Amino acid sequence: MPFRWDTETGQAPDISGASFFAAGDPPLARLRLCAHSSLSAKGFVIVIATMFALALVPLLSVLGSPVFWPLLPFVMGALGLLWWALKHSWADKDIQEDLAIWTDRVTLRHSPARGPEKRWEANTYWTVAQMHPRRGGHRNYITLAGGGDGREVELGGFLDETERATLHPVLKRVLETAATSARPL
Amino acid sequence: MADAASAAHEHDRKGWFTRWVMSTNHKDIGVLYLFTAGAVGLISVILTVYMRLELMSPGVQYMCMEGFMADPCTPDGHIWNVMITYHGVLMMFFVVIPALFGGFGNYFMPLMIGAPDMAFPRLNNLSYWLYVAGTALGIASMFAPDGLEGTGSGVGWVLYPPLSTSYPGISMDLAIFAVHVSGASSILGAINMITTFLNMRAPGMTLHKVPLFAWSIFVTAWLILLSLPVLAGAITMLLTDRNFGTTFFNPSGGGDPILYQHILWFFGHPEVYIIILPGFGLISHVIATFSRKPIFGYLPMVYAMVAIGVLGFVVWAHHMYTVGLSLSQQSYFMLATMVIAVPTGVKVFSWLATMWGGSVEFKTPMLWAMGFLFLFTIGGVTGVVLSQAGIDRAYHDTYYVVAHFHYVMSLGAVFCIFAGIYYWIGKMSGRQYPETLGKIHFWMMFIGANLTFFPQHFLGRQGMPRRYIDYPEAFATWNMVSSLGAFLSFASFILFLYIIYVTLTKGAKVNANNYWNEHADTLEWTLPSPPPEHTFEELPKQSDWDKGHAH
Repeated sequence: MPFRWDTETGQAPDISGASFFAAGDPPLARLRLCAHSSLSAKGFVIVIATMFALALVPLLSVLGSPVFWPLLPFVMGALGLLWWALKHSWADKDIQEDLAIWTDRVTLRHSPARGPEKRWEANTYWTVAQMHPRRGGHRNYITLAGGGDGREVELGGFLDETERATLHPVLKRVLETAATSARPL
Repeated sequence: MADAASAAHEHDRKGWFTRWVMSTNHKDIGVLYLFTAGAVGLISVILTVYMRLELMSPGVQYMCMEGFMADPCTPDGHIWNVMITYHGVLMMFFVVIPALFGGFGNYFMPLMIGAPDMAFPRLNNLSYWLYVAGTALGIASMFAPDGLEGTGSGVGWVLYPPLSTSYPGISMDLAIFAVHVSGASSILGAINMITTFLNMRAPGMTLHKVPLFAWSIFVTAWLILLSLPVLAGAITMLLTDRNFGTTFFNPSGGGDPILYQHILWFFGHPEVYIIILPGFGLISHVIATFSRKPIFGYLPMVYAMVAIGVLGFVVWAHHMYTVGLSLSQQSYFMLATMVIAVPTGVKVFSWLATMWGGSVEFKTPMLWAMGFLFLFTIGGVTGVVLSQAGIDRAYHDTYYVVAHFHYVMSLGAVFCIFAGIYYWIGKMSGRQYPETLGKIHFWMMFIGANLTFFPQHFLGRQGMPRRYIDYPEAFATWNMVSSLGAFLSFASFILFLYIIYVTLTKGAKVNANNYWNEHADTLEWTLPSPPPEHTFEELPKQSDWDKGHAH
C-alpha cells in the first residue's frame, strides 16, 4: 500500500480521548506514505537470476576455448549494469513522507530520493487538510496549512488521485478528533 | 515536504538546441530516433536501388572500374561487395532497431505503462547520440580506404573472418567500431527500457495487464541485453586479431574461424527477433483498433513473444548448416528451429481471430498491418522450408534465402514501421496524414515489394547464388521483374517522404485525444495530440487504462 497508518490493522486509529503531547508521548496517529515502485524485492531476484542463467548459455558453449575470456567481461558487465540500473531506479523512487499527529502538534517529514529531509509542523488545532479537486495539473491535491511559518505544503503528491481521495476524509477526521481529544490547559 | 504547487505550473520554454540536442524527454528522443532512422533508411535504400539497377540485366553496366556506366566496362566487384555490406550493416543496426525499438519504444512504452519518462532520461540521450555516432562511423567506413583498391569494406554485414581479419585498410576497423558503438547504444537503451518497464508501471498494472506493445519492447530489450554483449565480445576479438596479432579466429595460431560464426549467429538470430518483435506488439494494437475488438488471446500473445525470444537463443546454427556440423547437431537445430513456428503460429492465428467477426475498417494503418500479416506469413513458411538441413544444402546462399529474410524483415518489420507511423502520427505530431495518399503508398509498396522479392524465390530455386554482381542470361527475366519492383518500392518511399512533409506542414489538426475509436484504449490515447511535454507526472488512475479485458 502506498500509504499506511501506523497501527496494527493499518487503518486510521480511533482516538479515545486521552491527550498525547508532542513533548515525550508517542503520537496519537502516524501516517506513512511512500512512492509507488512496481518492482518487488522478489522481482529483482527473479530478474537477476534469469539474466544470469540466460547469460550462461553463450558462455558454456565456449567453455574451454580462449574465446570464453573476451566474452566474459561483456556478458557479466551487462548483468552488472542491469543490477545497478534496477537498484538505482529503486533509489530514485525512494520518496517517503511521515505524518505524526499529537493532541497539540502535527509534524510532517518529507524524505526525497536525494538531498536533505524537509520538515513542517503546526499546532493540530490550526491544521487544515484540504483537498483541491483540481489545482494546476493536479487532481485531488491534498495540502496542509496552519503552521507558524505560513507555508502551505503538499501531502502525498506521489499518490494517484483515487488514493488521495480515499486518504483525505480519514485524515481530516483524525486531525479533528486529535485536536479535540483532550483540552490542554 | 514540497511546498504546495502554485496554481499555474508554468514551464520555461526551451530553445531548439536544448530541446532536440540535449533532450532528456522520452517523446522527443523517440521522435529523434524516428527521423534519424528514416534518414539512414533512405541511404540504405538508395544502395539497394543501385544494386537492383546493376542486376536489372545480365552483364555489368554500371559498376565499372573505369567509373559509373563506363563503356567498355571492366566489372568492379568491390563496389558491389561494398553495397551489400553497407546495406546489411545499416539496415540491421541503424534503421530497423532504432525505428521500432528506439523510436516507437521510447515514445510509447512509457506512455502505455503510465510512467512520466524513462527510468534514466540522460542515459536515454546518451543512447541516442551513441547511435548517431555509430551511424557516422558506419558511413565513414564506407568512404575510408580499404587498403587494396578502393574505399569501404566488402565483407558482408556478418564480418566473417578470415576475410574481415585480412582486410588491410582502416575501413574495416571503422565498421567494427560502428557496430561496437551501436551495440553500446542498444545495450544502454535496453537496460533503460527493462528498468522502466519493471519499476515504473502504474499502480495495479501487473505484468499480465501490460499492453502488448510494452511487452514486446520488454522482450526485445532482453534479447538485446543478452545477445549484443556477445557480439561486442566477438568483434572485439576481430579487432585484436586484426591489430594486435591474437589468433582467436586464425587456425595458424590455434584459433577457429567457425567459432566466430557460432558467436556471430548466437547474436544474429536473436537480432532478427529484436527487429521484428516490437512490430508484433505494434500490429496487435493496430489490428485490435481497426477490428473494433479487444485482441484475441492476450496471455497467449504475451507468452508467444516470450517463447519466441527464448527459442531465438537456441537455434543459431541453422544459419550454418553447411559449415560441417555433425548430424546430431543439424538434427537438433532443425527441430528447434521448426518449434519456433508454434508460438509464431499462435500469434498469427490470434491476429486472425481478432479480426474474425470484428468490424474491420481498412484505414491505412490497418492496410499495413494486414500487408504485414500476409508477407510475414509467407516469409515464415519459407523459413520452415529453409530450416530443413537437407533442403538447405540446395538453398544455402541462393536468392531463396534472400527472398525469405526480406519477406520477414524488410517486408515484415518495415510494414510494421509504416503501420506504426500512420497509426500514431496524429498522436505524435497533432496533425493527421492524408488518407488517400497513405493508401496509395501502401499499394505501391505492397505491389513493389512483392514484385521485388517473390521472383527471387524462383531465382533461388533455379540456383542463382546471392552476393554476386552478375549472373548468366538464364536468370534475366525474373531479375528484370525484381528490379522493376524495387524501383516501384523506391518510388513509394519518395511518396512516403512527401506524405510526411504534407502531414507535418498542412495535415488536418487533430483535436480529439483518441481519433480512432474506443478500442484504441491504451494510456497514450487519454492524452492530447500531441502530448504535452510532461505526461503522467501524476500517476494515472486504474480506470484510465484497465478496461477489464486484456489489452
